Amino acid sequence: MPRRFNYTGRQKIRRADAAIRIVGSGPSLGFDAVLNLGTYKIDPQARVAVEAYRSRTASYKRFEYGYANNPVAPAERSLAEFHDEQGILFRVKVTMEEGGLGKLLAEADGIRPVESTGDGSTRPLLPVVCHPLDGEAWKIDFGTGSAAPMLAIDSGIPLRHQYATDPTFRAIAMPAIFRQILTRILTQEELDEEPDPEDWRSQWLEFGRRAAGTNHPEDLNDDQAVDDWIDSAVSAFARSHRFVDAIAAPTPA
Amino acid sequence: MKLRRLNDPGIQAFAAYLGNLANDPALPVPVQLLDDSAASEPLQTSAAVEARAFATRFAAAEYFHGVIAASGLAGIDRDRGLWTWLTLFYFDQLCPKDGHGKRKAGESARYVPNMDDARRFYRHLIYGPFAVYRLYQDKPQLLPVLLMNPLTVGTSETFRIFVENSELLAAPCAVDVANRLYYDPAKGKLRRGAGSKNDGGCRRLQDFINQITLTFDLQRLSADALLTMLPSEFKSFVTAYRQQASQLFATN
Repeated sequence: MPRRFNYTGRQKIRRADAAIRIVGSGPSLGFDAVLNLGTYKIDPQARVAVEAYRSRTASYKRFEYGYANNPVAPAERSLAEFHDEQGILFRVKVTMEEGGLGKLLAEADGIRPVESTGDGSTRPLLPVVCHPLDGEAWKIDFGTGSAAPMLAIDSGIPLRHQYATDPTFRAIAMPAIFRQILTRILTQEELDEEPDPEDWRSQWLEFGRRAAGTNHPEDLNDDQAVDDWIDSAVSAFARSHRFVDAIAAPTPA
Repeated sequence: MKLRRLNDPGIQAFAAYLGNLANDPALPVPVQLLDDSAASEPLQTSAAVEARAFATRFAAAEYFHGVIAASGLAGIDRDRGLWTWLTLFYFDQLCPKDGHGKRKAGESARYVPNMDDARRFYRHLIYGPFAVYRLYQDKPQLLPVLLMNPLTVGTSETFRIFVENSELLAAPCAVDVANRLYYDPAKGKLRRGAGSKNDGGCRRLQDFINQITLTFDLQRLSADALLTMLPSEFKSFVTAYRQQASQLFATN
C-alpha cells in the first residue's frame, strides 16, 4: 500500500483554528465556523471555502468564505439537506487561482463539529456505534475519507453498548483493534510532516508512542520496523491492562 | 400506493423471507407486509408510489428523488423502514424470478439498508442510486457512468469507487471526466476496460485524482482542465471520447 506524506507544500490548518459548531435542527440545521488563519503564511487574496459532507449519505455542500485575510461567513449556512447532524464532517480549503486552476495552499479535513453541550467532556478515541454487521459481532468501521474509525457492534447483540466495555470482550478484542488501527494508519493513511494533535491519526499514533515508549519508525517503507513497533505498542498496551488475567480469572458478575 | 415504512417486526419478517429464499427460491414475496398494520405504518405524507418498470438505476433514482422531494418527509436518510418498504414494493424488479420462477437474492444490504455503514449504505438498490442522484440533481447529465446499470445490478466498480470516496463523488469535474471517458452514449453502457484495474481504468482515474487533490481544489477545477491533465495511460479512453464527441457534433 502507498505510504503518503504531504510534500506538496500545502499547509495543514490546525483544528483549533477551524472551530465549527452545528446549530439548529431539521429545516433550520446549519453551522457556525470560527476560522483563524492569521498565523499561516497564506496569500491574503487566497480564497477560503468550508465544505460540509457526510460519506454515508453521499451528502455534500460548499460555502464560500471570501478571502484569507478576512474570511466572511456567508449568510446562507443551511445544512437542511443533511436532515440531521449525525456524522457530518467539515473541510476547510484555502486556494489560490493559478493558471486557471485552484491551487490548494492550506487545508483541514475531517473536522468534527464542536460538541454543543459545552460540558468539557472529552471525545472518546474510539466511539461505539451499532448497526447490522452481516454476521460479524464487531468490526472497525473506518468509514471513508478523513473520518475517524469507530467500533461497530452488531445491532443484534443484546446490551450492545455495554458489550464494548465487557472485560472479556475488551481483553480479546482491544489488542486486535489497536493493531488494526495502527496498521491502517502506518500503511494506508496520509501522514503530515507536522502532525495535528487533534487529528485521529495523530491521536492514535500518540497512544501507540506512549504504549511502546518510542515513536513509530521514521521510514514507513521498512515493513519489519513498522511491524515490530506495532507489536511492541500492542503488547505493552495489553500487558498494562492485564488482559490475559481478565480472561484467566474473570471478575464475578 | 401511499408511502409507508416497515416497522421492526416488518423488517425482521422481510429479512427472514430473504434468508429463506436461499433454501426455497420459489417462496412468494410477502407483499402483505406492505399494508399490514402489524408490519408497517403510514407516514405523514400523501406521497405515493406506483408500480412501474425502470430501465436503469438512473431512471429509478430520478423517480424516487421526485417522490421523496414531494413527500416533504424529514429524516429519510435514517429511515430503514421506508427504504425497506420500497424494496418490498418493487421486489419483483429488484430480485426478479428466473425462467423457472425462482429468485436468487444477493446480500441483505441490497434490500435492507445499512444506514450507518459508510461502505455498505450505498449497496441498497434504491437508496444508493437515490443518494447519488440527489447530490447531482442539478447536473443529472453527469450520472450515466454511475447509474446506467439495470436495477438488478447493484454496485458497478465505477459506482463503488466514487461513492466510497466522498471528495471524488462531490467533485463535478471528476464525475464529468469519468462520464466522458467510460460511458459510451451510443451503446448506453460502459466502454470496455472502464472498471479495470489496469492502465486507464476507473481505479487508475481514482488514484490519479486522489493524487492531484493534494495540490488542487477539485471544486475549482473544470472537467476540460482535468481531462488535459490526465497522463498518457488514459489516451485510448480520451481518444474514444473525443471521436464520439466530434461525431455527435458533426451529426448535430
